[in-house]
Amino acid sequence: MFGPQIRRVKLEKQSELRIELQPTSPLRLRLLDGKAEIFGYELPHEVWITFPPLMTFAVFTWYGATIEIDGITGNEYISCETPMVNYLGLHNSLQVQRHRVTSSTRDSASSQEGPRVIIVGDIDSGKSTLAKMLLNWAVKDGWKPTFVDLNVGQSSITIPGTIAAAPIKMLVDPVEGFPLDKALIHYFGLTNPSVNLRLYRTLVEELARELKEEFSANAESRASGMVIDTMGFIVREGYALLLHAIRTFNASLVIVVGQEEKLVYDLKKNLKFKKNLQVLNLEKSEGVFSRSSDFRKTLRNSNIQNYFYGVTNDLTVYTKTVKFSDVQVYRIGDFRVSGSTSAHQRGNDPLKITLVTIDEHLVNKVLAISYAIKPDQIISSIVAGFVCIKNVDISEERITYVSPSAAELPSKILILGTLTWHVT
Amino acid sequence: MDSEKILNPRLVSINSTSRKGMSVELPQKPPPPPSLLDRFKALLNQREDEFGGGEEVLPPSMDEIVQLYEVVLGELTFNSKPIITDLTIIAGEQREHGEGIANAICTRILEAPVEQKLPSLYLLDSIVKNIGRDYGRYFSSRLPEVFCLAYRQAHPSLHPSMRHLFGTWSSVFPPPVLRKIDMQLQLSSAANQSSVGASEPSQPTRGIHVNPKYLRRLEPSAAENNLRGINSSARVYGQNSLGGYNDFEDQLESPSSLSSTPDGFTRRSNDGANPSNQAFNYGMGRATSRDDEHMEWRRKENLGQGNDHERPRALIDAYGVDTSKHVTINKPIRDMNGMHSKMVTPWQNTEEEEFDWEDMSPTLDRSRAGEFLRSSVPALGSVRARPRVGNTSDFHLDSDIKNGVSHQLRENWSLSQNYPHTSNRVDTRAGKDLKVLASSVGLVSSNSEFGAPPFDSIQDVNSRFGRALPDGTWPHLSARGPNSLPVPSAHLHHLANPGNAMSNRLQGKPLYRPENQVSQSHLNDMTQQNQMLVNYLPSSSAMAPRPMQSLLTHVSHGYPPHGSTIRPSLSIQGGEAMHPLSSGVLSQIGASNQPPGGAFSGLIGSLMAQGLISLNNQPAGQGPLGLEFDADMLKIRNESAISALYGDLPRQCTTCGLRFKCQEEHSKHMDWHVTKNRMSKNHKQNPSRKWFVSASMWLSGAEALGAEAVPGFLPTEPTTEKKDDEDMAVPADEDQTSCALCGEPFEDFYSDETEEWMYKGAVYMNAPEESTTDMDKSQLGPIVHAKCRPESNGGDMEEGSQRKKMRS
Repeated sequence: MFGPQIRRVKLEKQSELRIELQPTSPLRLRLLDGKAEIFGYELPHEVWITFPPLMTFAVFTWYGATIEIDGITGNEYISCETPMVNYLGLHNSLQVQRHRVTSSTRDSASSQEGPRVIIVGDIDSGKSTLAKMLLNWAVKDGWKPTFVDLNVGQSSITIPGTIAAAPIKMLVDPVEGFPLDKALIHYFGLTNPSVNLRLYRTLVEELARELKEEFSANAESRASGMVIDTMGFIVREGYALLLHAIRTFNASLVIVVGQEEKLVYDLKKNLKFKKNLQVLNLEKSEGVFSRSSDFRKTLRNSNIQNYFYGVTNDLTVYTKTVKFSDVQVYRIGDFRVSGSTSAHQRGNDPLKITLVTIDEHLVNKVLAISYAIKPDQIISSIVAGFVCIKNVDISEERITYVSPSAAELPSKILILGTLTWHVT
Repeated sequence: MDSEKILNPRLVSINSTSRKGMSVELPQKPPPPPSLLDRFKALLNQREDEFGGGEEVLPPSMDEIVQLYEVVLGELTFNSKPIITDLTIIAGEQREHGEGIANAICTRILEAPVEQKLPSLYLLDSIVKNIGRDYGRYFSSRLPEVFCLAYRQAHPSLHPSMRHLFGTWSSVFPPPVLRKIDMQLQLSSAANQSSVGASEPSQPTRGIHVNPKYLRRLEPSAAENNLRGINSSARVYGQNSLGGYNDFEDQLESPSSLSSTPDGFTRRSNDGANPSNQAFNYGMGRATSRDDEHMEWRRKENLGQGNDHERPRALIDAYGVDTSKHVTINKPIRDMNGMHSKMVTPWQNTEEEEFDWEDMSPTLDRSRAGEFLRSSVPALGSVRARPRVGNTSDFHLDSDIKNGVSHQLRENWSLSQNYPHTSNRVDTRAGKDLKVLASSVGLVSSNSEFGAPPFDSIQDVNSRFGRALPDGTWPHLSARGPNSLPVPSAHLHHLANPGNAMSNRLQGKPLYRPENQVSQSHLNDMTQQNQMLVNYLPSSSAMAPRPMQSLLTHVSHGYPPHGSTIRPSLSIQGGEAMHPLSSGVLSQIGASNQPPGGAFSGLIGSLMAQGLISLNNQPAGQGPLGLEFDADMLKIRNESAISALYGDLPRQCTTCGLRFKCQEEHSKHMDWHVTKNRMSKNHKQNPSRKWFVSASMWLSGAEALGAEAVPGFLPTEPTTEKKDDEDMAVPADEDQTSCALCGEPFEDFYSDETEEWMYKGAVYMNAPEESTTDMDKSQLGPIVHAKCRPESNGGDMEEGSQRKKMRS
C-alpha cells in the first residue's frame, strides 16, 4: 500500500473529471483555481472534501478549473464531450416556466403548476445524476422543488426497498446526499418491483396523493414543481409502471435519457391524448460507470450501513431490547403456495397483511417502523424509520435490535421485507 | 640722493618679492578668477612695467591711484558684497590717497545711473564704518550734496532703505552734517522712526562688525589683547582717538583675511624677516606692531600738516588745472577701457527689462513677501530657540528670508521671460569680448566672470552682503542679479571659509549657519517655485504642462510650509482623494442599479432572441405553456444560464461554496455555520438520527417551513429536535391554556387537516415523541411546550413505569 499522493489536475473549459473510488479507500479532493461543481453543487475554494469508498462522481467546470486530489482512485479520466450544455438548457427552460407560473394571473389550475419532470431511461444512464443537477440548479436560483424517488432497487433518499419524496430546500451535498429531516417514506420491502407489482402501484399512488395534498397547501412547492427519478426497468412490466407513474404524478415533461428511440416512440404513442405533456430525448453521459449485479448488492448493503452510521461514520446507534408482546411483525402480500385447490390460488392477495411469528429467522432482517395504528393501515401509512434485529431470545421472549435513534419505538407495528444488513 | 638711491634698490627687491609671491600662488590656483583686489594690483604692476625702462621708478601719484580706483569702481553696478568688500579693502590700503578716493566715490554717486546710486552709497557706508575717521572727514564735506541728490533721484520704493541707512550714520558723521541733510529732505518725522529703528538694529550691527575683526586678531594676539581691542572698538563709535589706532590696525590686517593660508604665512615671514626696516613699512604702508603704529600716527600728522600748508595752493591749482585733469581722466578711460563700455551696454538693456517688471507688480511682491514672513513664523521660532544666538541672527535671518523670497521671485520671472534668441545674442557678445580682450590677461580673467553661473553666486552675495551691512532690505536691486556681472563662486567660498572657521574656534563648537542657509535656500526655492506655478497657471498656456507636472510631483512629496501654497495643494489632494471615492460610489451605484430580476430578464431575453420561446403569442399546438424543447437549441451554450449560476450570485461562502446575491443572505448563512460549529463542539458524543416525521407533521411542517426562509440546513440532532418541537401540535384544551412547566400561554392555530384548533409547538408531557392518537388523555399528562419537556429518556421512563402500574 503506497502512501497518499497529492496530484493536480487541470480541467479545460466545459470538461469533466470522472472518478470512481476504490471499495476500501477514501479520497480527498479540493478546488484550487477556477469554478467547478459536482452534480450542480459548487465546490468551495481550497476546502478539502472527503469522499467515502464505493462512491462515483464527476467534477465539471464551465469556465476551467484546477483540482487537487489526495488519494488513489479506482478509475478516473477526463472527458471534454459531455451533455452538460443540453442539461443546462433544459434547466433554463424549466426556470422560464417556473417564472411564468409565479407571475401568471390566469385562473387555470394547470397553468399555475410548476414543471413536473420525470426522468426515464435504462439502467446506468445517469438518471439520478441528472435529477441532482436539476434540483441543485433550481435551489441555487431560490426555488424549492420536490424530489420523488421511485427506484426501489437503488434508492437515493434512504435505504433500498423504499419509495420516497423530499422537499429540497438546500443544495444536495455531494457526500452526504439528500436530507432526511423532511422525508416521506413508504416501505416496499423488496428491491425488485416485479415480485409485487400491485403493491408497488399502490404505494406510488399513496405517495402521489400525499404530494397532491401538500402542493395544494404550499404555493411555493407547487410553483417549484417536482423532479421524479425512476428505475431502469423500462421493458414489459417496467414500461407499464412508467406509464402508471407518468399518469399518477401528472408529469408535464418526460425526459428520456440515452438513445431510446423505441421508448420515445412508445411513450409518445401511448400518451398521445394526455394534455400538457412533452417528451424530450437527451443524450446520456458517456462517462457513467456501469455497475455489476454484485456491485449493486454491495452498494445496497453500504446504503443501509450509511443509514445507521452515517456516510462519514458520524452517527451513534443504540442496541436495545423489546419483549415479544410489545411488538408485532407483519408481512405484506401472501405468496405462499398452499394446497392444490384452485380456490386457494385464486385467493392469492398481494396486499394481504400477515402476522409473522417471531423466531430466529428474523435475525439480520431490516424492519420498518410503521406509523399505522392498526394493521389494515400499514399500506397507506408512511414509516418512521428502520431497525435491524440482531438476536431473538425465545426463552426470554426478548428481541435485541439496533436502532438509529435513542427514542422509544414510535409504534408497535413493524414491517418485514426481504432486506438484510450485515455489519461490515 | 643717497637716501633715494638706497630706497630704489629696496623697492626693486620688494617688487621681486611680490612677484615671487604671485608665482607661489599661481601653481596652487592655476585658473582662479581674480578679484577686484587682484585686478587693482595687476593694474599697478602694469604701470610699473611701463616705467620699467627708466632707471628711476617713482611711486604712483595720487592721481594715478585714483584713476585706477575709478576703473575698479566701475565694476560696482549692483549690490554686491564681494565687490564692496574689495573696494573697501583697496580704499584701506590706499589710505594715504583717501581724499582722492573719497572724491571719486562721491562723483560716482552723483554721476551713476539711478539704479547704481544705492550700491555706491553702501560702499561709502562700508568704508566709513570699517576703515576709519579720515574717510569720515573726507565724505562729510560732500555728503549733504551727494545724499540729497541721490535721495531725490531714487525711486520712492528705495526711500525706506535710504532713510534706514541715514539712521545708521548718527554715530558716524557729525551732527551738523546729518541735520543739514535732514532739513533738506524733510526727514524729521521719518528721522524719529529711523532713530528708533536704528537704536535697535545698531547693536546687532556693532556685534556683526566686532566679531570678524577680533576673530582675526585672535590669531596674532592674546585673549587679553582681544578683550582690549573689543573695548577699543566700542570707543571708536564714541569718537575716541585711541580707537582710531585700533581701526587703523584692523584695517591693515584685513587683506590677510582674503589671502590663502600659504600666502598669509609668506607675508608673516616677510614681516618677521624685516621687523626694523622702517623704509619698507613706510613704502608698503603695512604694519602690525605698536611701534609701527606710532610711526604711522606721526606720518599721519605730517600728512595733516601738509594738507593745511597746501590748502590755498591746492585751491588755486585745482581751479586752474581742473579742466586739464578732467580731460586727462577721460582719455585714459577710453583708451584703456573701451571694451568696458561695450560690456556695459547689454547690462543696461537687461536692467531696463527688469525695471519694467518691477513696475508691473511691486505691490504684489510686497504682499507676497509679507505672506511668506507670516507663514515662516515657526521657522523664526526655531531660530530663536537656538542656543547662543541673539537678536542679531533673528534680524538678519529675517532679512535673508525676505530678500531670498523677492530674489527668487524675480529670478524665476526673469528666467521665464528669457528667450533662446536673447541667450544666443548674449553668448555671441561674450565671445567677441573675449577675442577683443585677448591681449589683456587681467581683462580676460575679468570677462570670464561673466560666464559664471549667476544663480548660486548671486544668492550667496545677497545673503552675505545682508549680514555685512546694517539694512538687509534690497528687494528690487537684488532682482538685477542674474543680469549683472556675476561674481565667481570660488571667491565667495574663499570669503566665507575664514569667518566660519574663526567663529567655530571662538565658540568652541561648530556653527551650523552654512547648513541652515543652504536648507533655508532650498526652502525658499521650493516655496518660490510653488508660488510661481500656482500664480502663473491660468495666464500662460505654454507653461501649463510643466506646472501641472510639478504640482503633481510636489503633492507626492508632501506639504510645503508656505501658507499660500498649502491651500492649492490641499485642494489638489482633495481632488485626488475624491476620485477613488467617486469610483467606489459609482461601482456601488452600478451594483444597486442592477435589476432584481436580472437573471430572469437575461434568460427570457436570450431565449426570445434564440426563438425558443415567445411570451406574446402562444401557438395553439403547443398548449398553454407555450414551451417547446428543441434538441438542437439545447446544444448551444447559453452564457446567461451559466452566469445565472455563478456571476449573478457574486457572494460565495468560503466554507461550503454556497452563493448569495446580497449580503443579508450571506450573513445569515455565516451565522448558521457558526451555530453548527458550536453545536458540534458542544456535543460529547456523535448525534443520532431522529425518526422520520409522521404524515400529518410532514404536511403542516412543510407549510410552516415554506413560510420561513431557512438559510441553512442542520443535520445535527439539536436543530432537528428544535424544528420538530416547533412543528409539533396537540388539540387545544380550554382547561390548559398555558404550559405546565414555564407558564407561558400556548399559541393556537386552526388545522385544516384535523379540522380543529391546535396548540402550536406543544406536546403531552408523558406521551411518546411521535404518534399520540392512540393513547388516552389520562396517560398523556399535562400539555407542555415541546422545548420545555424533559429529555425523551425521562419521558420514556415515566411511560415505562405507567405501563408497569397498568400491568400490576
